[in-house]
Amino acid sequence: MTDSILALVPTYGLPLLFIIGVLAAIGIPLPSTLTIMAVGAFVAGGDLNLVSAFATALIAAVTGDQIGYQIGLHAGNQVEARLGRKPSSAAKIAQAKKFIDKFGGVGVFLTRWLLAPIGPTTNIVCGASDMRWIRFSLWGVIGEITWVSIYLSIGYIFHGDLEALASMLGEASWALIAGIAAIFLGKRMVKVLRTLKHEKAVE
Amino acid sequence: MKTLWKNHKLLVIGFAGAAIIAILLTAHLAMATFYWPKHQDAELDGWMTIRYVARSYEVKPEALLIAIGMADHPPRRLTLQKISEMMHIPPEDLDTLLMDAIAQERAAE
Repeated sequence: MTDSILALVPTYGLPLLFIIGVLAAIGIPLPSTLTIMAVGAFVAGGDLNLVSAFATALIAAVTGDQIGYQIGLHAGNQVEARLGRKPSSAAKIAQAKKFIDKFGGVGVFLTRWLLAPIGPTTNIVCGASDMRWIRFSLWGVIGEITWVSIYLSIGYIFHGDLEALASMLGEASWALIAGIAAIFLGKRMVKVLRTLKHEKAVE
Repeated sequence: MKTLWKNHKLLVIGFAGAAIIAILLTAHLAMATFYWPKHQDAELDGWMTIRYVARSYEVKPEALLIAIGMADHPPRRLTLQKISEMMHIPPEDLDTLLMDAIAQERAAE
């Protein structure tokens, strides 16, 4: 499928880049990173124009992010209205919101480019947890500028097997995500172990 | 440890899963990076344009355009697939034409 999508980029140009960008940012599994890198290479070869390609990719990604946020916002309100009736669930929701409030800005920024595979989910979670729209949007735009700049540049500069490079970069992102999750969960485990030890000592 | 497993199964499974995935992916990446230089040339593919191929193989696009007889009217944004349709030749023959031209260019340099 990747090849047939890439084949459409030189033929249909920027409108297609826009559609891929929006859909990928919403969470439809499309090879957006590879597409941006291929666009960078097409720009370098003179098949596409740099400024319009950059602007198109950026506007597409930001549009997709906003759609994800709105989906989260509307779905979140409904879920919260139902779950929030139970005090225990309401406490958990409040806890999750506090977490997003604390790390949300940087989280949105990093999930645009460094941890890109979980970007679409992050949009929905941010919307669902009522993260302030202006905060989400500002960090989102800065993150997407970073993402488009990095991957367009890689495609522009790199000579060789882009598909192999794109899959390696994707793998690196997942390795980072798994690593961060392991550290986070590991810390929780240590905390639980300490509490257990403490409880035993008290007994 | 036993109590941890008994009361927090999800936490332990989550941690182990994340750690294993992180380690496996990092190992795979390290291997891929190690073997990278040998596979640097991308195989020709239908989605590529002539200019893309020229850049990828670091040869002048003109040389490839001459090889396929399109030097006078260089095709802009035409993929190899479209070019092979236009030239009424199978994609494999177009690839051979281009690879020969690339080899010649590289030998000349």
